[in-house]
Amino acid sequence: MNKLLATRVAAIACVVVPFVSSAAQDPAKDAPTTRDTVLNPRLLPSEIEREVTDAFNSANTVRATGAYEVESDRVVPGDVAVLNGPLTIAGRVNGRVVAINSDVILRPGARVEGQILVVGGNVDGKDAAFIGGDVRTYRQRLTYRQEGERLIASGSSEEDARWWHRRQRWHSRSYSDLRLVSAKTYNRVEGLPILIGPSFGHRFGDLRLQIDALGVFRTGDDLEWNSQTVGHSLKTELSLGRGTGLAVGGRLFDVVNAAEEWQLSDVEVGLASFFLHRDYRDYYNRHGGSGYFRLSPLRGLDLTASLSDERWSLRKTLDPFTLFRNSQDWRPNPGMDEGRFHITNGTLHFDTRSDEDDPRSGWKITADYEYGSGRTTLFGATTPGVRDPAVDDVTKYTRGFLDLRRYNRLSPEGQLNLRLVAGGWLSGDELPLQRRFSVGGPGSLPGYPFRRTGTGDDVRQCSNGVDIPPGVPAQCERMVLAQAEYRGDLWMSLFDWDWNDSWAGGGWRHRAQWVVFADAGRGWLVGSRAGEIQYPKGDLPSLSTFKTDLGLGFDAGMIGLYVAKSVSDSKEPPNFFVRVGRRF
Amino acid sequence: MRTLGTAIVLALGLATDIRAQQSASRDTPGRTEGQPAQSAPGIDVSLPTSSSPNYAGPVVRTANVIADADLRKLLQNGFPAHLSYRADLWSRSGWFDDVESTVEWDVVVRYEPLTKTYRVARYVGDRAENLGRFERYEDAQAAVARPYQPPLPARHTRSRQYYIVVLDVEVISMSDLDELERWLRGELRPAVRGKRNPGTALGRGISTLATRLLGGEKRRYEQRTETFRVGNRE
Repeated sequence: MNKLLATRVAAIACVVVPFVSSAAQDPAKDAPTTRDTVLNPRLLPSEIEREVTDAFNSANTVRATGAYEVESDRVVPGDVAVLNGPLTIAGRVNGRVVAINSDVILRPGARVEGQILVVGGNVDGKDAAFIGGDVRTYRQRLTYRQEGERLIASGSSEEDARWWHRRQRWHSRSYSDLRLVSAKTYNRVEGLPILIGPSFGHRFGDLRLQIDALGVFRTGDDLEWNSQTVGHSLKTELSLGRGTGLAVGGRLFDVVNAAEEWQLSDVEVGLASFFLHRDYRDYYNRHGGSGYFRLSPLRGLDLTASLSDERWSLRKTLDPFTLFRNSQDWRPNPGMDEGRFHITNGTLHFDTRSDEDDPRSGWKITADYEYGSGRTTLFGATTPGVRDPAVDDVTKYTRGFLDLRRYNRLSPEGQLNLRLVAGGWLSGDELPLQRRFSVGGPGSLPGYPFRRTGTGDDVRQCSNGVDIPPGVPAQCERMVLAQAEYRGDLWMSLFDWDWNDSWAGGGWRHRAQWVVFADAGRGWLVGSRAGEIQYPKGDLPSLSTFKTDLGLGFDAGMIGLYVAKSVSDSKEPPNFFVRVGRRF
Repeated sequence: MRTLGTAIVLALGLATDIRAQQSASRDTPGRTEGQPAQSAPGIDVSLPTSSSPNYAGPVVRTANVIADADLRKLLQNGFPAHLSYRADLWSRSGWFDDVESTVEWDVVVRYEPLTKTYRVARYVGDRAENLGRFERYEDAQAAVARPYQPPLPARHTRSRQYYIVVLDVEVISMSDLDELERWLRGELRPAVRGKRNPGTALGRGISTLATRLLGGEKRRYEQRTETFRVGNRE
């Protein structure tokens, strides 16, 4: 390092020395010895940029833009700064002279008591004038902009700050774009949905208005223009405050939604669909409009109330391209209820996690209360006994959902994470199929296969094991799932990779962890007691009926490799699975 | 026809996510400066030297996190590198360790094609600190590598404490899409937190997998100090 520094200093000296004149050869009689330096770096040093702009912006400086002259009978008591001169001095300057992108012309008899600093110009007439200080001349011009009378160099911290604020678009004043982006995730009923349309945002002080008007084009089947392949998503929001505050907004939509989004992330579902021909969600179409009001009293806490009027309809299974197993059939998208519904939601989000992607401590709580009413025009198929055959088409229900996560660091190397998910029917009529639950699979009970059922009572999908509709729909009206995991940092070095509390080789630059976990959960129907599937509304199933599993894993940060084994069903074989990111 | 069409549309859709990498292969300036001596990329976090009080905050050193060719190509094609740091002060007491306080700062490296220079700046809150403009990429790396002591003093407490510093390196130009995606997905919360990898779920997943496996786009480094008590290390 020192050798490199020495080399650079020597190199600079070699460049600089030929340009350094040996001070003024024949100075004015009373001129003191001054240094006269001419520098020609390709870049104007940032400290010089700062020096000249500070001088120009100083309130005590006589400053001018364009040609300026200090006449022979004039005395300037302080500094003089000129931008895009030239500056001609015939009189006296008691301070220093700064010329920016400008020449300085010294007339015979001129006196400058202080320094002369010239950027992007020359000094003429030095020999016939008195110069009390050093003369520094930089050939490189200053690049700048002006805000009013204020000069800002392009290399300044102020300019960096301006650039930064411009990049922080959420806080920017306004924008308008034409968007062409893919949306949500690859799935078997849409393929890859693409969004196209204008996007607009504007800030009025603390108020912020956003509008997006986007068309949805679905690529899952033939490239045709019809109601199956085309949708829309229009959204507007007026918010007050940044981070905390309140907002009111509205949305018009014709989009595809998943029935249970809480199990796996969009990324995982999309990757599994595109690569492995496995879609871990079921879908339905929502067409309608909604309005909402959101209050964010604290950072990390928000409460939202929304009201919507929407029509639900089926989405048939398409055959989008997948990288592997492309010739196989997809799991059919189960039929769901169709009809028109009014949905009222109250939702709370509370998030104090230390990091969204890699939380070490904190809470993440999502709680949702939903009141739905409407008329069902078509009931989706279910296993016999799941629905009351006498149910009419008018529906009123309430439903609750809670996802509570707590992340705890037990030591610098280990952490214990806990999650409780509970949801289900609260009152009123039976839940529509869109609002029902299941457990099992990599997102909930990985020791059990996803949507696979055997004979007998199935407490994961709430079926009796016979007459199961295509696609094995989620049919449970209530569900509880508890998950716990202990994570420990790994201290090891593999394949000569440098372990420094992070892997630093081969692209894996993440802290690795070993994971041991346990899960327990089940679903059930609400009604008079029937076997192990249905319980009265005030009862909880016995813990002995819960499905449980244990597992081990290796989480490299980006990808985690896990194996889980059912405990409650010894005949279930172990399941190997991959998670992209954390389990929860 | 159908497969071809699907493939074309899929490629179009994914193009939004991988455009940075695609553009990186175009218009690459023909700069051939030698690479500096390479040590493992990462961060080093240390407590102040024994002559300094422990409560002055950790010293963070960054090494070679922008050294690889992919990131350099992205920079030269106009995609600034965003180094986002977060330092946590943890204390050990009771059953669980607690985060006592946190400081975040950012370092941005961007290339100015007009002047053919690399510009490095540190941002702490709304305050920007210009770390310099450099003609050589190695000098920009050296500016990034300068030690920094965030204002995160240890607490005067009997509990043991330690620091953890996390550095995320990503190409800043792509992160805007993440916010849009959340917004369009109907999430009612404003995206005021986090700087996750951008793009669509599938596109993000694929590009994340591919680029991380290849050492691209976004990386995370983490380091922690030994535990200490104020005025008395353990």
